[in-house]
Amino acid sequence: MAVKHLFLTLLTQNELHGYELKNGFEDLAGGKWPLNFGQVYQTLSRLERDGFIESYEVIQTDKPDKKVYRVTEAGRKHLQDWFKAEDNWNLFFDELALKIMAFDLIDSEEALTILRSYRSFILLVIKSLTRMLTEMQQGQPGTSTSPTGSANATKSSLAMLVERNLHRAEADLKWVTSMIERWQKHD
Amino acid sequence: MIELVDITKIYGQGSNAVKALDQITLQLKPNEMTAVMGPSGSGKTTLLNIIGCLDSATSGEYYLDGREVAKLDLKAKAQLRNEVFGFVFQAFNLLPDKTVLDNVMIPFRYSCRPRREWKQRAMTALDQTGIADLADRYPDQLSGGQQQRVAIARALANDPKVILADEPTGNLDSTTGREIVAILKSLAEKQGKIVVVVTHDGMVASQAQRILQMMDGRIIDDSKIDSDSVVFSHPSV
Repeated sequence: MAVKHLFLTLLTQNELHGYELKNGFEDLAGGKWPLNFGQVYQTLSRLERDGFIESYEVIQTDKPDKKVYRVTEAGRKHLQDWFKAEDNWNLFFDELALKIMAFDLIDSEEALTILRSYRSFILLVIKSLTRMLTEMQQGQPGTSTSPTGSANATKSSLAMLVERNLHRAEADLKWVTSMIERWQKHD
Repeated sequence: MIELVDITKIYGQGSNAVKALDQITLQLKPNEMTAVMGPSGSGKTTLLNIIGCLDSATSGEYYLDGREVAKLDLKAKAQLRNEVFGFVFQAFNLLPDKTVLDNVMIPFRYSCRPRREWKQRAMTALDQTGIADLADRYPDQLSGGQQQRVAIARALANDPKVILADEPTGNLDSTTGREIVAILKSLAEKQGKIVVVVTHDGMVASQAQRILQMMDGRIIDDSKIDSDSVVFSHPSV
């Protein structure tokens, strides 16, 4: 996955040290994708090895010296290539995909159990995503329902990400519901 | 509490007969928002109409707080419709030549509430849906979400025990829809009402504590969302 590309993106804005890159990444992910320092420094050392970033030491008197990173021309080029890279779609993107492959072999009652439990799960996913979106739009957790408060819906990357997931989950809910109806008719 | 036992509804006769509801047995309790989902023609709206005494069953029993509804006379049923149930529809159904306040006061005309209480009760209802400041406006001066808030306030005017909503977010964008659902949900959770929402929308259904899935006039699934949230995963690299 492209943690390194987000690091490069962050470095096109500012020169940063490792801790700032970690925080910057986690902010973009809305706190939903924490990184550990091992991952951060491994990613940085690979980027540096490949010539996409370079670093220098900043001497500090009151604290330990820190290493600051900046993006190179090769790094900017690498990032542009990533932005333009072809998309791909994994046909078997989750566990359910593999369970569906088993449907030809198991009986319809078992398949229905799997589908029903997935439907409950998807509803819970939609509920959770809806709450995330509502909290983002209200700026804080709570249940205020002002009729005018929603106009300036947030345009943050996390809000877009959550909305995308919400659309996918709703499509999946339609799919699983029609599957249940179909398998029900097999009885 | 609402209790349906073997409720069947048949429209038409002989070879034209259509079974809209097929032996539905169901209990609905206060403090609970229930979503009813299902394809068109699966019986969702028929079920809602029978619960709300807008229609009567061909067979089966319907008990409302222990009283059998079929044994009530027409007048008692009309009173039930006005005082026990509040209805919310997809199309808002507001009177265009009346102000917001007057729209909300309509249910009082058919109740025995003294006139001097009308305004205050209506304002309380508008306050509950967050639009007390729009009381003097006319429906065409309001957004869709605001109009649906008026419709909910009108449904709340007589402080009903049961709110029945048929596709209440069907004409609204998703953000406004979420706000409307939040209001309906709080009526169940905070005011102890029975809330039943017919919907095609997964977002709406996901906010309910209980979800009924209908097909061919039957309830094929009755599930509860008891967990509060899911833990999302992320790539491990």
